[in-house]
Amino acid sequence: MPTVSPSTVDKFNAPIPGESLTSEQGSRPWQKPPQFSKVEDVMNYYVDKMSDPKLSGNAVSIMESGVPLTMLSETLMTANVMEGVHTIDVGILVIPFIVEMLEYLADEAGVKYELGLEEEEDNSVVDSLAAKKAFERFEQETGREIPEGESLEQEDTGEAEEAPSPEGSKGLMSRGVM
Amino acid sequence: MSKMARMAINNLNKSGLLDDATATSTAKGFMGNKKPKAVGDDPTSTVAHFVKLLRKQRKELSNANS
Repeated sequence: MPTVSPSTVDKFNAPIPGESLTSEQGSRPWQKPPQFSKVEDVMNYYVDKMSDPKLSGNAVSIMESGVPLTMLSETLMTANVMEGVHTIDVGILVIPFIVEMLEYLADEAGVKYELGLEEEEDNSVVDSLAAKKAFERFEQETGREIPEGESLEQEDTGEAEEAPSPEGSKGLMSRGVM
Repeated sequence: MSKMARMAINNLNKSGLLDDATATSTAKGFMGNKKPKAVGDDPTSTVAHFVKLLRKQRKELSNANS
């Protein structure tokens, strides 16, 4: 999946906080009543859209490039919400129908597609590897060995409890020595 | 990005509205008065009905191709 590198994002070209509130209420398509409010009407709208050879051709080429159908359907749905065709809740209800239509299109075109229903990759292995590397770095820097089954956090809290303060506590709530 | 779509599809699959076998078993209700859900009763069952219709068509298409 393509990702955006943080270095390529122009931080000074981002929207200012509260910018969305500066436009007049109701000036955006999604702030107006939707074009279709019933599920049947929305499904009819998508059937009409998919019958358009230009759109269906584009959809098939996107599916052929390996984009999952769930992602494609969600993008299509969100774009229509943005244009004020239907609300997001009706859109979510209709998503299975859009996916099924895309599957039908792909089958008709003889294209292999990815449904994208499986969960995202499990990062626990990567996380544990990162933790192992961090432990190794800690051992190299401090020269101490961390026994197995003991985390850095436990050791830190243990040290914090044991370490006596040389001059006594200076906090606001601390009781001074009389 | 596709989390919403994945959840919508999984929820519809879990609801049992797409299974043909559960259509009769859901018709029990209180004292056997509950009618089976029909198209137009609620949005989810309407979507499920059309999804089933499309699946049937897809099956026919694949049978015709093979």
